[in-house]
Amino acid sequence: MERRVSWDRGPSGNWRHIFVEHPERKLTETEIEEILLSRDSLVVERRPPCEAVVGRIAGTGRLLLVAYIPRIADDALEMFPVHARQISARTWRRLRATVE
Amino acid sequence: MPQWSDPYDRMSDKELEEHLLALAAGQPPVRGAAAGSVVISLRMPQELLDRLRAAADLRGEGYQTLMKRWLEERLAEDGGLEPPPDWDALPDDVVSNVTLTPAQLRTLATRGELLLRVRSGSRRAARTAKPPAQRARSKTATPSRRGRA
Repeated sequence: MERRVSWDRGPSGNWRHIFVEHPERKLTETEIEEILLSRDSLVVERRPPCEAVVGRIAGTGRLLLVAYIPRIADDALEMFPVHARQISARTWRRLRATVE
Repeated sequence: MPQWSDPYDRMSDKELEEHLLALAAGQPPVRGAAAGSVVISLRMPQELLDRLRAAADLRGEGYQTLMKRWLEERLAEDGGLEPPPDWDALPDDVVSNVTLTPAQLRTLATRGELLLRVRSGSRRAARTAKPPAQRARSKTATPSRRGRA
């Protein structure tokens, strides 16, 4: 089933929140979409209506946490990111060790 | 997406790391916390179960996990305390036209929300309909009384 990332570029949308309100995080749409669409990302928390996943960017090795709101739209899983931030390698190792 | 908020926005980098480490230490990711869980038996229409499984597949998670999450969300929305309809506020013409099916009557009686008094023939034949659970208790209580005697 198709999975896609949903962006709202309006003044109170998620795009502005993640990229304009937090320029210090130096995030890109590609990075966030890679984490959300990767089957290797780990779900670390469910805080309704949000879910949070952590994952590694293939090219750079950057480790990110992305929180999003899932919903079904047109027979696809639509993910609406609400938060993204880099995490440390230590935290990533701990989280992976818990799962493996 | 009309309403949304960022649950981690107020956390500093350090706070977020500590939060994630706490999750890693006490609440394994992906695998739902099972502490305090109880096993229940639930009858569900096959068609509803099929739809639930399809929705869970879309999200890449188990249908039971999804079911619990949705229940949590719904309870978080209204606290699970939606008031029952206020019968006194309903117009008489509406109330007088209410018809209950036998199944609805049985459900209300089972819950103890309706007391049925059935008369047939003489007053001796009058009896009060008890909820099945109450009848079951009465049946189980009899042997123990006999046992003592």
